[in-house]
Amino acid sequence: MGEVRLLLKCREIPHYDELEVYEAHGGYQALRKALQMDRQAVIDEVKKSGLRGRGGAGFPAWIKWNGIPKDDDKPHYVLCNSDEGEPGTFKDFELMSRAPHQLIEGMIIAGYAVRARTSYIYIRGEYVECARQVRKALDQAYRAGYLGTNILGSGFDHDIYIHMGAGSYECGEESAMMSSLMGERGMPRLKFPHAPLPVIAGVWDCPTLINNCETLSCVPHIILNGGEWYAQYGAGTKNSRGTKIFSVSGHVNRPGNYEVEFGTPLMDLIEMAGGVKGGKLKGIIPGGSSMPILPADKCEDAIIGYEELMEKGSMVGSGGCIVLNEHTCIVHFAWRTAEFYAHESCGKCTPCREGTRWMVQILERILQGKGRMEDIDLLLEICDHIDGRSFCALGDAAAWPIRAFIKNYREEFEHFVKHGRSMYADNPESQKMFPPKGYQRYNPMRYEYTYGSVLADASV
Amino acid sequence: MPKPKHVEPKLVNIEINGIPLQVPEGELLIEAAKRIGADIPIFCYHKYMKPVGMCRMCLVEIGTKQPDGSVRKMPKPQTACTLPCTEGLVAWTESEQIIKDRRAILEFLLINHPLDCPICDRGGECPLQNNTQFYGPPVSRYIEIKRHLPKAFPLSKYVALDLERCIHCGRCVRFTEEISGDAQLAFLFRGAQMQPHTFQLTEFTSRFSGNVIEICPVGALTSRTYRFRARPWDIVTQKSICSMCSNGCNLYLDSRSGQIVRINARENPAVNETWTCDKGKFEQTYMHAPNRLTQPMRRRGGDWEPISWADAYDLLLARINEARKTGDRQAIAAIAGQRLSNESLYLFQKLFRAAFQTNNIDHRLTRYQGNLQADVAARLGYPTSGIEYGDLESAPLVFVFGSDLIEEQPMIYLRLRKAWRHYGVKVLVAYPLSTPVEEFAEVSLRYPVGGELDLVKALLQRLSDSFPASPSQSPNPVSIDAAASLLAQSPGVIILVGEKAWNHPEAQSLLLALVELAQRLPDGKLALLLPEANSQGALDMGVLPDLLPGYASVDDATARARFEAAYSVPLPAQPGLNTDAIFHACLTGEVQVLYLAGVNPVERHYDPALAERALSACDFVVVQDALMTETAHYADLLLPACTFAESEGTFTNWERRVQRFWKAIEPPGDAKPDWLIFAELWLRTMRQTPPFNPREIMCEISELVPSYADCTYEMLGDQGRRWE
Ligand SMILES: Cc1cc2nc3c(=O)[nH]c(=O)nc-3n(C[C@H](O)[C@H](O)[C@H](O)COP(=O)(O)O)c2cc1C
Ligand code: SF4
Ligand code: SF4
Ligand code: FES
Repeated sequence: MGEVRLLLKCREIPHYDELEVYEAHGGYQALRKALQMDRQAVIDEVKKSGLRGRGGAGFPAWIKWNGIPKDDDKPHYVLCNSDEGEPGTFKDFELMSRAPHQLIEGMIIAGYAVRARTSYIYIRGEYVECARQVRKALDQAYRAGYLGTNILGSGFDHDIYIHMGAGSYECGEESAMMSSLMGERGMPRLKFPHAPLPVIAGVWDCPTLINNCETLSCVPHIILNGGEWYAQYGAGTKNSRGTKIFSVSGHVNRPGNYEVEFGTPLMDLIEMAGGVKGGKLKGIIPGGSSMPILPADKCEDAIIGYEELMEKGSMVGSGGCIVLNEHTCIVHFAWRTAEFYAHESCGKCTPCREGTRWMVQILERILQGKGRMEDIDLLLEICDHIDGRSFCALGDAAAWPIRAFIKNYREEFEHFVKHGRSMYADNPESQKMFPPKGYQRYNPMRYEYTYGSVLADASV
Repeated sequence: MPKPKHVEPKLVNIEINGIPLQVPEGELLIEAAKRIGADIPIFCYHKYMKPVGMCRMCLVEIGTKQPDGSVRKMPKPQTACTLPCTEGLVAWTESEQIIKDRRAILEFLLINHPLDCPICDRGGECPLQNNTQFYGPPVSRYIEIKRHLPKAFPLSKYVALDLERCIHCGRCVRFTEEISGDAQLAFLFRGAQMQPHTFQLTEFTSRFSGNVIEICPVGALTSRTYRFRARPWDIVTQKSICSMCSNGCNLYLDSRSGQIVRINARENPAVNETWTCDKGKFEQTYMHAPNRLTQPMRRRGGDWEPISWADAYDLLLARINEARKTGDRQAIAAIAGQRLSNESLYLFQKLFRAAFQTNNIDHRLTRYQGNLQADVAARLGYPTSGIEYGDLESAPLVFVFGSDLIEEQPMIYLRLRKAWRHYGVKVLVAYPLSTPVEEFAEVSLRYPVGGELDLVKALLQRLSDSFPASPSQSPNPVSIDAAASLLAQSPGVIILVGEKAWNHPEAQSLLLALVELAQRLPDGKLALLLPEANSQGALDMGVLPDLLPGYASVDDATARARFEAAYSVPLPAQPGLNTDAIFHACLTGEVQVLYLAGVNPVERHYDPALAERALSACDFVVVQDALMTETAHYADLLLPACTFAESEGTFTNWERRVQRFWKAIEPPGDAKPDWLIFAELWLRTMRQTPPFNPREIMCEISELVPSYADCTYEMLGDQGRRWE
């Protein structure tokens, strides 16, 4: 199966980020239609479409929309998650820079459906270019009367604000994002059943709808063409409907974003991206670095779909599809992945804060040739103790990939431990991917703390 | 919404470890588990702070009962400290999985912990040690290099921070944000580098910083006054009450070899919850001051001559008899301190009224020394409408008038802040300067210094229909209007009045105006906040020239008759002199013997120069005190007294809560408890059996003072009792 460009229609149309071009291609028609509809009818349309969250968890979108109280007098908010921190994922980047109006239209419709007066787009700190594009589009939309008061004469008012992140992966987690938006430290907040859902008490304790950028970008298409029309895509899968953008990266010939229908075989996606580069396929991480790796043999008959990939032992996640060829040293790869999560852990909870650092230290020791056989099981056990015990899903996300690497490529770890060097140590292709010699994250010779020496001098 | 005074909780059925029980809906699982004695280890959870679920120590397995009776288990363990109980909740706290999880969390916590327990202040009373003993792994599998961080950084004069020991429970950070509100501590950096600290390594300036030492579950935050001075197993802990202000915080005094080395908070949900202020925790060191008096002494020219107690009593009584022989009723006067226990104060007034036949006794050093009975009590009660801490939480509006609350009444400040933060109680503040209360006050009235009376009059004017709204110049008329409408719209407002009123030049008019204000407001209540630990007790015990214990007037013959029967002597019926009148009488030479018991007018009187002149003029000044105070330099006879730590007794705090304190250490030298000195003088003058201990004195008080009827030691327990 080939590409299906709904959201990525922008690719074919130059200057799709300009309002006139967007309007000329049917832009803001969905908004006009939605404003004529009953609010519940809009939600029902989303329900019919079978749209699920594209941010990672794949939660049915309409349930969130429908969960926002319908007759309270608190202000409601829509929060668009454009933090896109997951390594290997860059779809929101393209959606925001090439089709910002599509996102804005989706957000206004969402705001209309859940009676929100105000929306926020939380954009990843590094995405300055995206923010500029969204800013420009917002200005145009305000000028054209799609935002502000009494939108298109419907009596509906809506404002959208941009909020830039400050370089924290954790702030993509929805509750941490709310903390960050409210000016607090980017740490996650208690979740159901410990606290009310965000749709009841989100930012400033008000009902808040949080959706990923891609999820919201789908909305105009669903409203314009109807939920049933959208649901025909992916009809072959168990419970995944519509299209999904995959950001294919790694050892492929043409890395980039590819929008495919659910039900497409995973290998077709790799073919679209020009096939595996530099050797045979070793494995694919289909949904961003947090997801377990699928070894080559499991990739062959893998079908893209939430349940379908789950059966194979991985997940759709955010669609950051990382392809590894046969020269990749998994031990090095595992170390690099672990390092990312240790760096991004917010520090709130014990298992993630201590466990991620410990894992990096063990992997670092293995890389230095000082590994012990029991370290491999120890790593697995640390994963078990983080997974499901941490405060938020970042802990799980740190554990899953490491566990999958060891489970699927145990012999590489054992080889590394036994010989003190990588299985691929003599392979010039692999050497290119090794980290610089002597690189060490946790240097025992220095304080792991910027203020270290200042404090030491001041001891009482 | 202010907290309702009483609500019937809705009960839900839950099951813990197979034991069914009913708990109020929404109660946290960790609290529910305590009801059946299931022990769930914790680090970050603290009863008086919002749960956060950071440390993951309290993981339990949970499930819900389905309508068909089966139980659906949640796949992941959940933190008990954050989970509200709902109908049908099922929890397992001791399952095999949970035992493993606890071991894993402790292993994680310990990998970077320095394990320097032998030199750690917390060692021996450390929650991390205890939880590791009970639930932890016996050995660590960690062979990497531990996180290496500097040790013992001086955060402030009182607090040292050892970053290596921190387990990142966030209690300290949350305390400064949620409870004290100064938000001085924050987490810096993230992940494994995360550290609690002040923002820019600035000094940790808080009036409540000491609490973080107590709530830190490890030895990361330690007290600089206690560090390395004792180990938990060689200190003796005694229950006590703080003597530093009228808030009545419950304390523990920890002593080692007769030295108080540490003061910790003692939980009393009705009073200080579990907090103290830094004054009470670190500055309460006067019992070991170098200028303690340890021996009775008489003045010989410019020198002090140590004498025995017997000689001191003889000398004192000789001078008093001499003065009484002159026949002048005014010849003897006495002032008592407001840190004396109820028992001492009661015996004090008994001694002077019955044995020395004078009503010239007082305890007040403020400008207001009027007739409380006439001014306030007859209309509102003594000297307030009977407010307690909990009332602040259920009031719609609290008006803080003329008080820098955080300085004068730290614990009332904390409770008020809690009332505002948790229950949305509105706050109105009037003070000449900016105060921390302003930060959360709805309206702030800053008036020019001394403008209290104008302000109250302006408010009264706005509130009454009969007065035309006059343009008042102070303060800003807009906020006056806002304040007046806020007051008018909040039935049940509580007015907390501070030091500025007691010391106002026209204190009496001001008090009357405030009483009028409280009466004008629908269901308005007034609390005149008192300055010292037992100021309320001094009022209750009748250390006043015009009122007997229990607020009966001295010229009320029936009331007097009760006391006369008990003391078997007639009591003087004429009201005596108040503090200022006593001083003036000293200047004219009328007062020949002045007895000062635990009071320091040279420093504390609103007009120290008057006190100094009076003391120099007086013929014979007796000072009974624990310390060589400024006042003591004017004495002709010095009697060494005990501090609250060295004797037993009760204090009555601002909300009229009578609370017991216990003897923690031995008095130095020959110092005697105040009550004992009065009892011995009683024995020498009256030839009657004196009370042998404070318990007996309290029995006598409870018989004679109706409001203290059920304040015997047995009834008081260790949490005290409020009289209405
Ligand atoms: C550690 C972590 C990081 C996350 N980062 C992102 C992110 O960058 N972008 C995103 O859309 N969702 C992210 N999520 C998922 C969000 O928590 C949330 O599920 C999502 O925003 C919901 O939107 P959706 O229902 O439209 O998917 C992250 C989750 C976790 C646990
Ligand atoms: S798992 Fe814990 S430490 Fe890690 S990011 Fe979430 S809350 Fe922070
Ligand atoms: S210093 Fe103590 S109270 Fe503060 S976070 Fe660390 S362990 Fe917790
Ligand atoms: S005590 Fe429950 S998570 Fe810390």
